[in-house]
Amino acid sequence: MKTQAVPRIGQRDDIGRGGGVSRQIERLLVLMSRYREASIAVVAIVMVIYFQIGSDGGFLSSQFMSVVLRDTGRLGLIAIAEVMLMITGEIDISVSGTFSLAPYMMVLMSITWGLPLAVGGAIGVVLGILIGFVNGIITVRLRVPSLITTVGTLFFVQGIVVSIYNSQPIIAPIEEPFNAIFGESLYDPSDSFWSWHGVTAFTPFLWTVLVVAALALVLKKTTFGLHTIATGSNIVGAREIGVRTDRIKVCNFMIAGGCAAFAGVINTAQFASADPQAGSPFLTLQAIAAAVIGGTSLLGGSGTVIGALIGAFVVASLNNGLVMLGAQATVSDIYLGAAIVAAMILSVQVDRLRVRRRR
Amino acid sequence: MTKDLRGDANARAGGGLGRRDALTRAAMFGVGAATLAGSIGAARAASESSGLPKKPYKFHFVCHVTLDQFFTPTIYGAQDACAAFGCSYQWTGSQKNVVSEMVSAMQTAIAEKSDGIAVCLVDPKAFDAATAMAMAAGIPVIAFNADVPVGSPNKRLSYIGQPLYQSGYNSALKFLKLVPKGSHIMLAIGVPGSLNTQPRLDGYIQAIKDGGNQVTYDVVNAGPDPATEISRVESYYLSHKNVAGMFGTGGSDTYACGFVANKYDLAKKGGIVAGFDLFPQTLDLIKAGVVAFTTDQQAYLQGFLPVQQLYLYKISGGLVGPANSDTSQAYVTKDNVDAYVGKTRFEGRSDVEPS
Repeated sequence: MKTQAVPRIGQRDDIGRGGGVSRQIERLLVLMSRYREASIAVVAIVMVIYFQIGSDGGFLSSQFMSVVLRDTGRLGLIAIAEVMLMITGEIDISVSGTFSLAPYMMVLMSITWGLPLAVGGAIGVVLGILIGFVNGIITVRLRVPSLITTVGTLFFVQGIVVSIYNSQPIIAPIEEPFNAIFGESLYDPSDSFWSWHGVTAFTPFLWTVLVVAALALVLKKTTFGLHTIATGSNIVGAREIGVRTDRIKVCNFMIAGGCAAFAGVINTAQFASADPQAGSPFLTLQAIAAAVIGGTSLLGGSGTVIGALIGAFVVASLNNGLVMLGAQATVSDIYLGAAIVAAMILSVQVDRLRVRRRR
Repeated sequence: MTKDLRGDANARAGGGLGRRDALTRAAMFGVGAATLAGSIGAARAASESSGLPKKPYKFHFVCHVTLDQFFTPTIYGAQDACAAFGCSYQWTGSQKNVVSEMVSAMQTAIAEKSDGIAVCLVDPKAFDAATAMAMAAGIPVIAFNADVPVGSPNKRLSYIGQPLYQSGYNSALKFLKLVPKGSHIMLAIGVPGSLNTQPRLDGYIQAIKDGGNQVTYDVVNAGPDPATEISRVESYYLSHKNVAGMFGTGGSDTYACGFVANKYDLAKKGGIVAGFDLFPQTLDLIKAGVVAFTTDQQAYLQGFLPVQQLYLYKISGGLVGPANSDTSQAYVTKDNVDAYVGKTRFEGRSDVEPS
């Protein structure tokens, strides 16, 4: 990749000598051509500029960014769960059910048995991993398409959640520092932005960044990551060279389940409430949109968790920015839908430009 | 409006022969019989009555959101009424407001020769044919929680629940007294166009227009899940800090308004929050003085009364039973919230039957 890019810089430098602006643009284009995430980053920057101007500078305020980045964190964790699976050519619709079940169990165990939230949360995440395992086994062993498997488990898991406690939302206990570490915002405008309270304004997002960094490393630097991509891009070829594709897929289902459960736990720590309807299918759809906008192929074989995180930021910004700009309820979904499609078109076009430059 | 509804329902329920006449005659006959009994000294104390017989009728409840926590007390109400009258019920319909699934559920109940159907009429037209089919098959149909508009040709016998538009209107009249003249407020709706919250929103808006106190408003699409609702309401507040009040139209968006108001101490700044339904978190926020009030539409009665009316209709051969019942008489405020906070079967927070 680098051997292609370096001569181009030299060539363009010769042509553009004396033209500082064009050289800067050229450098930017070269930089963009190196990274798949560049296209969605451009979309995000354009959108931030638009909202910042439209809101008279309010969009990038620390309070508003706290709202948007918290939303990004929740959506981002579900989006990267989908990315890991979509790379292998599978999908998981049940993540919204897992998102509801894990924290619900955590809170029930806390109020019924007095179990600390941290322990209950860990059990909830393990439960999410188990749901992923079941999804994976049914999909790869019994040869059921993952879309159907996970639609089934979505209903099954959601049914369990609403039947456990008669569909009632439960007020969750607050246990510090668990809540503050995992989602509760203690930030007040009078607090210093760099204080502990300032950090809590963004904890859901910071956790997501941590998970994204870990999975990005896994995808780029480990054999497991390589095999994940190989499984999605050419499953027959991957099997022929000895990749245990079934195991890879099951593992990624488990990662997805764990991420969804963790997102649910963070969500409950944030609002101190466990709601059986917390994980609506709308959440899954938005997460898939974020993953695809971020550069993950629906056909498998390629994807980026960093792109998905930026995609989640785009969707979260649209969700909240449109409200900020005063979109009325009856028309706000029109704007949201059009903006998601526009973001997708812009991302695809920038990506085409990027690919063309690489050639 | 309630009066109109009742009159309309009575007209519908009466059919061609005039049901009201039949009831009047039955009452007159009853008075005459009682007088006769009294005159011969044979009247017995009510406590000596062997009571109504238990009958194994099976009724179907067709709900638009079968898993929604709001209907937990409704289910308890249906259970208790069934236990009292020896009946059974089946809770069916759609999980996500899909009208075609509800109509299919009604048709299935008709095919099973149900003894009576209680249905949330969340669409002004879609249930007309199924209702007519049921009535033609001798299966009484009662609407609960959501009803067809006044003047509808739908043949349901009665409506038990909150008149949605009117309850929105009444609630707005109550909160408009609390916000300053000429102020700006936010109205939240979880899913615009939703058949059980949109009429409440329309009622809010009409009351604001009729109020004449120059209150302006924005309507925010809060979103379909609690986290999105909180996020969007917070976004609205941060960009409209002059807002004098935030008002929800459903349970979760009312809670979202309360959550954000609590976070930013809106009550201390004179801001008013109110809405609908009894999320436990909303009740806590009422107790804390963050939310001014919420409207209780007595979900328990929406399960108990349909069974009672269907049972009486069946056992009396169609003479007794169907009558409209407005269940939305209660506002929960700081003064009476303690009665709601406890674990009570009547609000769905405990399955323990009262002793």
